[in-house]
Amino acid sequence: MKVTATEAKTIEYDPIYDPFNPELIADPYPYYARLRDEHPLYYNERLDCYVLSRYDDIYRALRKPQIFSSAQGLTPEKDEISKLGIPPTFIMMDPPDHTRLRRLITKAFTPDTVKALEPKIRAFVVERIEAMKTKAADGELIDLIPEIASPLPTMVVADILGVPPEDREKFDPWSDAITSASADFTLDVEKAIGAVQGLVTYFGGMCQARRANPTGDMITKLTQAEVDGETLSDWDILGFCFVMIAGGNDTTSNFIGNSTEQLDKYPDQRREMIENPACIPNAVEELLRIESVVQGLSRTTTENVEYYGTTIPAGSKVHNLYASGNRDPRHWGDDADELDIHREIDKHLSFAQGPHFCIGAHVARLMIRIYFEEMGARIGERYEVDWDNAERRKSGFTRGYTKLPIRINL
Amino acid sequence: MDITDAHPAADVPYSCRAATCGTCRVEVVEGGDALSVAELDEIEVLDIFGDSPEDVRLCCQSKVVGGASTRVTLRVCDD
Repeated sequence: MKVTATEAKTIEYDPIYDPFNPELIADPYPYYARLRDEHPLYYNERLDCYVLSRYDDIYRALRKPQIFSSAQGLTPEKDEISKLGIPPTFIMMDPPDHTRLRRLITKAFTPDTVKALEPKIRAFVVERIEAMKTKAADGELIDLIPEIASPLPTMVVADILGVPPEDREKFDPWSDAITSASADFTLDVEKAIGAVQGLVTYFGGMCQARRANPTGDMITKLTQAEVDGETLSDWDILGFCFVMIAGGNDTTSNFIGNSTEQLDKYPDQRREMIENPACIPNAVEELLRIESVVQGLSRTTTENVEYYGTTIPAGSKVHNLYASGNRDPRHWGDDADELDIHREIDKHLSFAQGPHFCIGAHVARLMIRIYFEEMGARIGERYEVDWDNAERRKSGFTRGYTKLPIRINL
Repeated sequence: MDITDAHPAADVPYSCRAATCGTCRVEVVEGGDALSVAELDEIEVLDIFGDSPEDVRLCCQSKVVGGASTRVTLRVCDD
């Protein structure tokens, strides 16, 4: 499907909640507060989608995959899977199929394998920070996104998958296009299909190579894995690659951008993280809570469900606004909109909840912790963000920055 | 201290560490009585997978409470 730019301009955005509304993308939180207070179950007629915005409602929905199914895709768009032409992915399945496929890659996320990643991640972060300092010494303005925020998760995802360093630069345009397709089907679907084709060609070749010459990487393990007595096809394996790249690549990158903004607003808390790195792990959870990179994902009801006196019919798309639930004062208290790195956090929604909880959450936490530790030790507070030239990602589904220039004062 | 922390050598896959994803599900082979009683959050997660806490537990929630001489054998679920 392709809609021309002229046609796109005629879209009348829903004033209460529309993920494509540029005003909402600029600052979604007043919209989310109004949804929670006045429309805790909202129906967006244009998208034919229900919206949940309160913490408790989202939390419960995510933990009931029997009723809130992922099998019809994860955005309000009804035909997203067929439109994108993507391989079958376990994130778009329900238990027990989801469980069997997810289990195949959990070996990449055991305590031992994650621990083994730590020195590689630290060495990479240190190298990137020192390179940034060298450029800064030459008087250059540093764009945090391409210098470290984006390459860091790319390196980690590529390492887990077994992609050689010289091919890693291919990842970013793919993940950009795939996630922006989710952001606006009416405009970007063709670009996303091109990205999916690029990914299919590359990893298809890699599957064949690993079948001929096995190594110890994840793709080799997937070529050797069996589900219900059958080995996985290349197309099945591509589904895993798609999840790793789309889910693991620019989520962490966006998080670093968002955190930089939050800590710029709260310099005392930034200083505390630098002076006392022991508080970084809890600070990471709070930063994840206050600005969820994934603003929300959808499910499809398998039966009629009632909320606030309204029945959601079976077969309806329900969009769960994680970022709104993360700021719901009913759950977090009256200061839910404020950053507090000492906040007691039980379960935020930024990695989802239930069986689709982000499988790489602990790898993401590890990357982020090391990032803050090394940035704190090597640059500390000696930088300023050039907000006039920062550019926010134009997406209603993921929140982050595409450009974030900083001036490092050595 | 939960089992994931207490026995890293077992190398049980994990993700949420908070009774939500079920990644660390393990079959109870022996000694289930020596494990802490499953709470509602854990029971809800096990139910998603069609499991009962008598047979399957979450490593991130289970604690050995039966004393030092208690033998508990667990096996990572392979479904």
